Amino acid sequence: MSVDAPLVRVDGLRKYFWENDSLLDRLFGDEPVPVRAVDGVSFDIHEGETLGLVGESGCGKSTTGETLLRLQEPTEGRVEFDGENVYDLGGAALTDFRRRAQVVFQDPFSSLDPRMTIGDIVRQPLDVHGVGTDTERRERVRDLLERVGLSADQIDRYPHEFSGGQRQRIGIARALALEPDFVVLDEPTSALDVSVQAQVLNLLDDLQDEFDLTYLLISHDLSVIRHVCDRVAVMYLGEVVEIAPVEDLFADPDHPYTRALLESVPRASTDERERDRETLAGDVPSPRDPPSGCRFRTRCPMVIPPDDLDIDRETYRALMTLRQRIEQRDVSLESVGGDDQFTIDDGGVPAADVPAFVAALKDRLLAVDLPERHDAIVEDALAELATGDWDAAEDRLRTAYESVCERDHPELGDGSHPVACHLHDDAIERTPAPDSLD
Amino acid sequence: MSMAKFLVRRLLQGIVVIWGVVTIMFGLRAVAPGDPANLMLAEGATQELVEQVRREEGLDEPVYVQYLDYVRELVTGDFGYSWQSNREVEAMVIERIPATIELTIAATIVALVIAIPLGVISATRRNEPADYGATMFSLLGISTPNFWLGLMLILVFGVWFGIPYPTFGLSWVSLASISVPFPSVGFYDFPTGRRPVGFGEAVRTLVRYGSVYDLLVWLKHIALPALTLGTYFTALITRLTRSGMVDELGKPYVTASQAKGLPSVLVRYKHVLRNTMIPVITVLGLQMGTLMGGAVITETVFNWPGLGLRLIDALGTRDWPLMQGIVVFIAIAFVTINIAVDAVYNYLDPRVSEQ
Amino acid sequence: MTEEILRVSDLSTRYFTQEGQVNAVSSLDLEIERGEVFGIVGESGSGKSVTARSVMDLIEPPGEITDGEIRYRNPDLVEAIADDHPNAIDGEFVKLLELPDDVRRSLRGTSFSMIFQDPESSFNPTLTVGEQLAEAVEVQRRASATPRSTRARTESAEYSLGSLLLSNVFPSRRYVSEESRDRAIELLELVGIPDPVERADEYPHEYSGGMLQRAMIAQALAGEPDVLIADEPTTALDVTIQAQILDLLDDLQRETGMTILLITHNLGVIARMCDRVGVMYAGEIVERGTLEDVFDEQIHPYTAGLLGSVPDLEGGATRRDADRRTADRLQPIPGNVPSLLDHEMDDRCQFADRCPKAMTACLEHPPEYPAGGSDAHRARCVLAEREYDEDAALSDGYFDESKRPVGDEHAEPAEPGTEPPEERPQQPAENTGGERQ
Ligand code: SF4
Ligand code: SF4
Repeated sequence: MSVDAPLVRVDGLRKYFWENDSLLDRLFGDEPVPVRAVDGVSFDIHEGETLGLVGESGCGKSTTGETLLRLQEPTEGRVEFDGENVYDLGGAALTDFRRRAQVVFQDPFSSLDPRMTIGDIVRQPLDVHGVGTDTERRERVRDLLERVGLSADQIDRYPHEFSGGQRQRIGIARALALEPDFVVLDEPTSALDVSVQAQVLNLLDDLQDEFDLTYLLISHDLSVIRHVCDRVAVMYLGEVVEIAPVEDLFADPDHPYTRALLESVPRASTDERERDRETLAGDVPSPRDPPSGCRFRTRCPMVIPPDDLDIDRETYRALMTLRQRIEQRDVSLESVGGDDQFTIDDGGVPAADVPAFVAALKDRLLAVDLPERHDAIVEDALAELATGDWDAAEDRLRTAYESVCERDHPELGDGSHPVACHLHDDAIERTPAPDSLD
Repeated sequence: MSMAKFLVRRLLQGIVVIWGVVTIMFGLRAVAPGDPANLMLAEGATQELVEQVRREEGLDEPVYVQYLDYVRELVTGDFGYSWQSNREVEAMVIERIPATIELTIAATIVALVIAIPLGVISATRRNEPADYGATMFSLLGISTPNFWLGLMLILVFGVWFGIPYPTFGLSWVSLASISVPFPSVGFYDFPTGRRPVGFGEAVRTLVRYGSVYDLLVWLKHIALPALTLGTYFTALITRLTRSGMVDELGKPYVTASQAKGLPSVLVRYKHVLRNTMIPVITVLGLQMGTLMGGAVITETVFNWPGLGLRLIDALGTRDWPLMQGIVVFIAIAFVTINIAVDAVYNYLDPRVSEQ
Repeated sequence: MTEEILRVSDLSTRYFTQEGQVNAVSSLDLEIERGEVFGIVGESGSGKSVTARSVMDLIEPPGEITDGEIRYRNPDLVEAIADDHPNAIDGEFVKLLELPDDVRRSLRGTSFSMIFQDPESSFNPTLTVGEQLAEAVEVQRRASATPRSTRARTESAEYSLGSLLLSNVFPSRRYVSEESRDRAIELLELVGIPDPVERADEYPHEYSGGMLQRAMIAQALAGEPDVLIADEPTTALDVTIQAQILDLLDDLQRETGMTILLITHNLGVIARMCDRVGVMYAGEIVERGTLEDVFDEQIHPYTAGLLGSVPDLEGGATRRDADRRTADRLQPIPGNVPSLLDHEMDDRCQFADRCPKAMTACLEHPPEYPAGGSDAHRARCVLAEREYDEDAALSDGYFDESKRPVGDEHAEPAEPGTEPPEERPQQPAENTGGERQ
């Protein structure tokens, strides 16, 4: 780690959006539901480096970017910029922060005002902050346009006369107008074609050298991240699960999610078809009701079984998925078996039908064959289901299979390559070893 | 959001709207010139009598006390007595409701029956003569004032074609219509505030005696007013249907439906038209106010014995309790219709209830 | 055993817009074999989606297929239409563009079906997913009831407005039957949707993006089509979900042996899925061949440029390496996507103004040359038959006068009207491409 203080230090940042929060909802006694878009995120960004923030849609990466620039108010946490908490800033200090920290948005089509000439767009920040004289500003705008690869003669044109890539250059010129130290790049190339994307990435690279910029690059595209960043933070469902120097992360990803993410990206090479990969099953859970413990546990192929359980990885995964479905009441008893094979009264089937029902249900819910011991447990639980007692089924399975991953929230930890996963906790025995995946 | 919560919210909003209407009406009355007590009494009443009435009606109290009294009475369902006829306002409103409802429903039906096919044709034959025709028609319809259209219809059908129509103060039209002998049933009843036959009675005649005569009479009387009131609406819905459908036809799911080989009738009507109608229905609900305003004018032009006509009468004689009663009723009706429309919207568009 | 199932020759699709004629697809040749996955890759505005829609007969005004042939091998269909449309027959092939509209329409869903980029907007939001799938099943059921007669085929597939109105009163007149609903549930199960019975009664907005894309695949499979056209099937999805969907398509293809035409801007997806590939640029296929031909032995500089623009995920240098400036710079293609307006297109190699190897010979529109590698390898580039010759190279500023300058740092001045058409509204089918995440 670098010795000097980081330029940006994010500490325990939270941003919740509230649903059911109106007066009427309170009248009805409905609890407000927090949507935990960003839930306790911490990282540092050092001067001159590019930190990548990568994750899938809905993981909170863009909200993190906006909140740390104070474009949104945080629910909790602090962000230090050059040693000062940005949420405490006011007056001149805030203006100064706004000048030094800029953002480039994803969509080059809607982030530029269509009624302004590009000269005016780039010039606007100069006007707002009252930089220089009129002629100086005009000179500066021409200079910036040239610098991002446009021609200064185009200064009086309107955004619609430009292509997507060119518009993104205009957005970059606008962000650079005030000579910022720090720029948040929010999916700067994801609306562009690959050939144009490469141009813009190269441009960003050049500009960083030339103006000594520090970047936070938010992207869902791992190849862009790998190409541009020095360090990478991987986000999943509002949390950072792994931070590492870029070559470490790509060569030796530690968090199961990072691995899965990397494996999922199809490579543009002829070996791609032969490449083995493990596809993550299921969808990302809702940030309204995130899983307890490790948020990735509902999809994690490595989810850790209790010590005394002798069970292989796939089987345990299948059992955990079954548990989730039962816990979420996401199993339909009505449609078990063929047409009207079972009649459901009071939420359960008649006692005589239970064995047949259990067999049919197991067939539907589990694709793997279970060892005898586990088979018995599962059948017990399903029999409870058959009588309509969901809680009992849930309890039965929890007692047998509760994982440390659902009990304890893994902490990110320190060091140059922190990972938020119990497989990397020193306190917990590594069962199974993390590289058994390969 | 649950349906119950949704209804409660809309109901609360509705109550606020109605309260606003009541307050504005009361405010207008307070600032309007003329002593109400004088209006209530025949001309030339003695000063003592006027004073006595003022005291009885609480007119000598401060304005806010009068206001609170008034609101309290309304809440308990007491609308007071008409100053002119001394009858209960409530009864005077209720007896006129059927005629107005018949008229507005007839107008809405006229509008829907004409407008939806027209809008569909217009949208599916975009930029063809049929589309231009429909566009012309709807522009005309939107920009034609109700009262003028009503008078013209009377002129054309009543005077030139000799079909009699009840009239409002236009002696030349009246003269022309008197000369027509048949069927003049009930025609002269109108000035007394009674229709020759309401829809209910007409149906009863049909059921009991198997005679369509009353029904025809009813139709004859309602045709032109309904057309007049419905024209603006027809034009509006045509426009909405057209633009909504053009929008909807451009959506990817339409291409997807075609790609799966679905017959075009189904694509066009089961998918596209249905989705088009969702916003149309919302706008319809919002436009109910316009429709009711139009009803007042149309009723006046055709001497149609509905609420609107009574409102105009009440205005003419500055019969405040009656006026307030009618306006409050219209506000309640407006709010109710809007809630109903929202409920329908909820039902038609599954996405709404999720939010 | 290989057998061509689809042969597109000399296909041209144009859009007649207010700004002028847009040559969305020009003289396109393509052969697809039964049971293979053929990929078309290109950037936005390259004409790949228009190609797909031309095959599906989904081109809407102001677009029009102006030229070419689309031949589709289907002996059953040949027999069925032999009497009515003899001129549309060529051996075992049916010439699709010779068929009347109603017959062509009747092939949708049953012979060709399509999945689209954005599952959320490709389902009707106000009908349940099950109902929409059942419709697709019903199309197939009604068509196969009388497979031999095209007349019956088209008529039975038609459904009158009268029936639709009556169906509100009489459930028996409904288009979708109970059997179709049951089949729809089976299809949902087939594509891996848990609890299909319940899910069938849910509306599209209650599904996640990945689930909905599965449902769309199920819908496309309902008619047991010969050819499945997948237009950017994973572009709107996250990578982990994309991987699931690609696996699903892969499995289904292996099980049913269907032919897939896969349209995408993502070279990784192509590499994962396809046997053969066509690279599109400016409405033309500039290079085609097996995956190896195109990825490893490409001739066309555009293909090379495209592959060079993709940042690598493994191997190679990352920027942290010592001399990262040189090690890791991407090799973008200079300039921008070309204009497809007819009056702005010269009769030359359309890539010449961005091509690092442009020569005088390139000023004549190159035909498709056979290129090395497999027999199927073709390239629309003079380099297929001659070496790059520095002496014949066009000077750097050659296109400056008439067109825009080439170059990364100083891109083209945007003359009004010469900007690339990537997001222009007159190409409704093309704004689906790589412009969206
Ligand atoms: S903590 Fe458990 S569930 Fe979470 S990533 Fe690690 S192994 Fe998987
Ligand atoms: S034909 Fe010439 S300009 Fe075109 S791609 Fe080949 S070398 Fe380049």
